[in-house]
Amino acid sequence: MRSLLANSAPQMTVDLAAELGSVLTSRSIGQQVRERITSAAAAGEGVVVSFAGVEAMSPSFADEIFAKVDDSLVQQGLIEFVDVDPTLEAIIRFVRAGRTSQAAG
Amino acid sequence: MAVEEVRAELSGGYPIEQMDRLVRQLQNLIEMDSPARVTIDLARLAHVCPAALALLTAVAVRLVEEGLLEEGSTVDGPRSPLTARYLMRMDFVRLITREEQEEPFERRDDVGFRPARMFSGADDYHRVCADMVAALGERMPADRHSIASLRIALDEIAENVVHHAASPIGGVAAAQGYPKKRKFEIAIVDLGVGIQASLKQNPAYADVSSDVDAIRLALKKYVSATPERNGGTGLFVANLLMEANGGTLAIRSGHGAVFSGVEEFAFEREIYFPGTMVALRARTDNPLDINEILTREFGPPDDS
Repeated sequence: MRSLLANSAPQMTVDLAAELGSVLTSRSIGQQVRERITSAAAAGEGVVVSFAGVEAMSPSFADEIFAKVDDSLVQQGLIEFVDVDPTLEAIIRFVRAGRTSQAAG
Repeated sequence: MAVEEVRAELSGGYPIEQMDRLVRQLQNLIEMDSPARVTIDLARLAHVCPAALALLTAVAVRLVEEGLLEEGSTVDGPRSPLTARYLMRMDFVRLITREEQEEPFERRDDVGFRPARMFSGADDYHRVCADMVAALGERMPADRHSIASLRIALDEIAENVVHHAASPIGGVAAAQGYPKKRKFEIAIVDLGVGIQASLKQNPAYADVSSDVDAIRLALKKYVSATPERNGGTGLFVANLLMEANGGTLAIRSGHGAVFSGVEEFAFEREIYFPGTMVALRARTDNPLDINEILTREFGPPDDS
């Protein structure tokens, strides 16, 4: 895991595969994870979300984590996604494009 | 006052393609809104696909939950031992006949895998889908990407039931592997408002005028009744998976029936089905890989 937050403190690490397994599904679980990391980051705690060991995720789960997350927290470096397998990048693009398309009406 | 008698008789086989015959033969039960003594005659039943199993279970569960079964309601079991063995794992048999009554055929609780499972909320649909796909994976020759992708597709479809269907009984999921035919089927049925009524909650789709049009719309990406919460991705992704696999996605909702994938056709049916039935029929000798199909659709990984 390579994190740009490594020198900032305090820091929380969320190991998704360890918590939820290698296949991430369910919007409600994704929502719970998003709320947890957003809440910590909004309180000033750096959050590293590790995707090490994650082989697949559902669009709903990905939507909650990557498309609905408060982007300003990511831009500020308070939330960082690490070890995302390249095979998961298409689904991330897919759900982000969905939110962009909805926002555009 | 005499107790009303309602009878439904099923015979022969019920593959996905003949779901309309099943809907027609269950119509008396589907439309029941006052208590009656119900007989479900399965004596001449030969085969039910998972969608038929799920529908039968959903209809029976509604009758029980709404208190519509008078004393003496029963299921006459199939004469075929193979069909009886399959059906003995169905919860609807126990539900219709009640615990204290003699069941029409032997029920074994040690079988483990139940081909039909119910779910009602955000917590249990996830567990039911995971269990069902894991059990199917133990019985079918499938790689882990296929199992993961199937679980994702099923989870997304079940989530539609929880978020959109307003189904009085939740949903019923059913699965069956056919190793010799190198395929499996998996289905989810609810008795909710149907796809058209659900989509119309979104003003953008208020003018959808037929169930077939509503189903076809729901298969497109980012089409959702509640875009602020949901992404409109579930049926789109399930359809992509079936197309890439050489399988079939079959949807029946309201008057509409749409088959997509290797078989492509759509009908407006005469008989109304209150709710939504989604069935996947996939090949086990072709891959099911959600990462691959989405990469094909949305481009390769960045080089950076």
